[in-house]
Amino acid sequence: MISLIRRAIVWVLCGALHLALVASLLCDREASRWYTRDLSTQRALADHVARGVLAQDSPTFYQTGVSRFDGQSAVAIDQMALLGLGQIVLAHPELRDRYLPAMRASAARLSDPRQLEYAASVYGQSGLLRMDPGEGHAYLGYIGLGLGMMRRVDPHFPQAALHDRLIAKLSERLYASETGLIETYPGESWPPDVAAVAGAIGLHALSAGRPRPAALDAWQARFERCALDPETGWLRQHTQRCGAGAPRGSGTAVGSYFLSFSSPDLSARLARALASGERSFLGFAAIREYPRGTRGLGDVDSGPVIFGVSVGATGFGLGAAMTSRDERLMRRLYRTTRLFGAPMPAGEGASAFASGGLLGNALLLAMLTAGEEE
Amino acid sequence: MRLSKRLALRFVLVLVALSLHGALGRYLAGLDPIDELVSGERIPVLFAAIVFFPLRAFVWFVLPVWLTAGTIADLFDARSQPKPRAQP
Repeated sequence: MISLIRRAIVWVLCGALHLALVASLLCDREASRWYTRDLSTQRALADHVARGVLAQDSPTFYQTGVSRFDGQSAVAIDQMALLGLGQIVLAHPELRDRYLPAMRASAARLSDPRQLEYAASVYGQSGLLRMDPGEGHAYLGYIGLGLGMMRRVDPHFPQAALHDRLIAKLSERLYASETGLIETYPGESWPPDVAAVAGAIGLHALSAGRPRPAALDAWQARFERCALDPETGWLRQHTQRCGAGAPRGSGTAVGSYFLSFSSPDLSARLARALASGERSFLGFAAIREYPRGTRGLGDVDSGPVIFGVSVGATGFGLGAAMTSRDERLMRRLYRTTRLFGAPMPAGEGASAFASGGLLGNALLLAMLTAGEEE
Repeated sequence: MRLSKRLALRFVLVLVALSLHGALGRYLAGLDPIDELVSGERIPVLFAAIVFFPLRAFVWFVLPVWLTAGTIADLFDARSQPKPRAQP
């Protein structure tokens, strides 16, 4: 009997101690390596992503039969691969030759109208080829961001003329909009996509060595008025008119990352607001998809929503934490990413998040390497 | 069972769990689970994922406690056992 009681006490004490320390013991060293931009940590994941995009020989990566998903996921993989690899090359220029072939492959696919056939099917033509007056084509913000990072690494890249034309057309539309919003597809306005457009304009100026366009200031005021939820400070996910639409964590987090290229003050405010949606258990943190007091389901933007937190808001939240240099939030979000993402050796010195696939790994590469050197 | 045997068995079980966890993780990391589930080898990938994630939770949250608490409790038990009397 005494032995049983003693055994139970030992188990309870060890269990409590372990639960209190498990998150920091198993995750914080790796989180610190990402936060301090440790070269070998970045290179291991970058090698995996570079290998994945180089191995792809068709415009889309997944063939689900749903053209919108197949196209958008391919754009996301190539865009995030370009951003992630580019961020690493900018911090470590000696790696330029190592990652340039993969970046060129991604840039070539992004500028191929066959990648996002869905856009051509709804507009009648791809925005890469022609944008008629009145059409928004905000999905091109993602392509513009990818090509912008390509230009920063290789100023004489083959798609330079296309990049200039896209940015000129998107700038025209953005600056002319009274709400600061433009449509992604006919009848659909998504503020996170508009944030991508603004980020692409900012990155274009940066990559061309020009100052940030002053017109972005006036646009930002209109955008904040219509796309920001005044109560939470979060970005509305989908809106039909100025001031309408529910705020969401995933859109706010990715918007914060995109806007770091064009509107750093707004990006930092979004990151701070996002931190208010943190939920944590045993030191593992995640970000709510819907603000406190509201509920909703997961979708293609958020990924699964479990206990109110989403994969998208948490993953993109890493990027928001990195760009705003919020080490505490980054470390706590990384603990959850490490637990569920499961980074593992993936051959030839590379490492990959086992549950991410190429899409998840490209996204995490961009988020975990986000922000400029201090 | 003698203390040394129990300890050895405990460490062997830990090694087996860690090896299986590593092998499944490396298998999943070496492919694209999304692509495989959409249009590739659905069954092996689904099976690996279904085994891997509960095993990961076990390895992170249960195994260390079982290893340390079990070992400490065994050591206490062994110390409190009455020592065999010396033969006259």
